[in-house]
Amino acid sequence: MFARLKASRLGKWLYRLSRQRRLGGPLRWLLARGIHERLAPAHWRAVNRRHNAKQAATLAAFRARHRQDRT
Amino acid sequence: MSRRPTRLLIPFCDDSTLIFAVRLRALLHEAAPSASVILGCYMPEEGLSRRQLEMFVPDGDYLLLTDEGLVQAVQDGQYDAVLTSRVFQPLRSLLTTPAFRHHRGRAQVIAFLGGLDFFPERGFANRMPCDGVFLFPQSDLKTFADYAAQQAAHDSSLGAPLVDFGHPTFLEPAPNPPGDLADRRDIYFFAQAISPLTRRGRVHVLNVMTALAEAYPHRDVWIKLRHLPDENQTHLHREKHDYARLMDSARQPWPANLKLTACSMQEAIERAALGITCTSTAAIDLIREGVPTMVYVDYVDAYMDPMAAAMRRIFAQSGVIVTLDDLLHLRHGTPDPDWLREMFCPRDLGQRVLAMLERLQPLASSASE
Repeated sequence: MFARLKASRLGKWLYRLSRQRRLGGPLRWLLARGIHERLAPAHWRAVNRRHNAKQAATLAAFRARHRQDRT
Repeated sequence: MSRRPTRLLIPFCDDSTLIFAVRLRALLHEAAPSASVILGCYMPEEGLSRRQLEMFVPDGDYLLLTDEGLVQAVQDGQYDAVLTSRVFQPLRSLLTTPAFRHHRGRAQVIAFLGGLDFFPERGFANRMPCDGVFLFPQSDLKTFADYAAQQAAHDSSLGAPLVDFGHPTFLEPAPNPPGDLADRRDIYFFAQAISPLTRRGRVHVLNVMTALAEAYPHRDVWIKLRHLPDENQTHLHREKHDYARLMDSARQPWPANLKLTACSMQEAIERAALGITCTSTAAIDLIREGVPTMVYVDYVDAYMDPMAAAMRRIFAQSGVIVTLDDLLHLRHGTPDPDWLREMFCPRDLGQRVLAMLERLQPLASSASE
C-alpha cells in the first residue's frame, strides 16, 4: 500500500505521518485493517453492491441453519 | 563412441519455481535415467525458507547460482540446456544478444510458463527470446507461434522459438480417482497469496470455511496456507492479509474442526475428499490427481480482483466453477473432457522436452558454423 502511495505527494505526506510516533501507529493499524480498500469507487457501482449483497445473504442464510453456539 | 549423457540445469528461486523444478526433474529422470539433471538456486532472487527447502529438496542437492554463475553455466558448455519457468534477467539479456545466440556450445534455453497464466501477453513477450517454449492451453500454441513469427520479422536478432505443449504441473489426469477417495472426509481450501485481493474478500472466504465446518461437523475443514506468515516475503505474489493473522485478529471462537495447515500440496491432495480454491493453481493439481474440485470466484469484492476475471475465463468450460450455494452444499461438477484435453498435456512431457532439445542442437551448431 505504502509503496503505491509513496508515488504521490499526498502519499509522501501520509507515509511521513505513518512514521510518526503518535499518529503513525493508528494510521498503520487502519491500513492493516484494509480501510483504504473500501474507498475504491468500484464499491459504489450498483452491480457490484448487488454482487456482494447476494454473496453475503447466501452465506448468512446457510449459517443461520447450521450455526453452532461456541460461546 | 558412446554419447555423453545429456546435462540439464533447472534454476529456481522461490516455492513456485522450486515445485516446477522438482516436478520437471522427476519427469526427465523417468524419460532419461542417465541424464544429469541439476537444480540451481538463483541467489539474487532467492526467497525460500529453510522449511520450504527441507520440504521440496530434503537432500539439499542443488547448486547456488549467482548472476555470474548463471551466465557462466549457460555460455561455457557445462549444460546442454537450461529449463526454466522464469526467464531471469541475465538469461533474457544474453538471449537478446546476437553474439550469445550464435555462440558455439552454449546451452539452449527452454522456457515454460510459471503456472496458470492470467495475462498471457506478458508471458509471451518474456519467453520470446528463448530457443524453445512449452505452453498451455493448446490454443495458445498457435497464438504464440503467430506472435513469435511477427516479432522475429521485426527483430533480426531474434528467431522464432520452437513451441510445444505442456507443463509438469499440467499432466493429464489419472484415469481413475484415488482408491481411498470414498473413505476420505476432509475438505481443503487452497489459499492463494493475492486473491481475494481485499481484506473483506478474505474475511468472506474465511466465513465460508467456517460455515462449512459448522454444517459438516464430522469433517475437518483445512485452510491450506500457501506458506507460513513469515515466508515468501520477496515472492512475486506477496500475501497481504494472510488467513492465519485474520483468524488471530478475529474476536469470535472458530469451530474446532476448522484448521490451518502449511503441509505440502502432495500431502493435502492425498488426504482431501474435496478441494476448494478461488484462483490457485491448486485447482489443476486437484483435477490432475482426480480429487473433486470446486473453483469459487464469486467471493465478496471479486470485481476488485483481476485474477478472478482471468480465472473465470480460463476455467469457463471446465465444469468446476461453482456458485456459493453449490459450494456450501458440496455440490461439485465433473471436469469437462474437452477442456481437460485443452489444458493438460500427455504424461510423456519429459521425452518431449528431450526431443525438443535434440531438434535445437543441430540448429545451434549450424548457427555457429
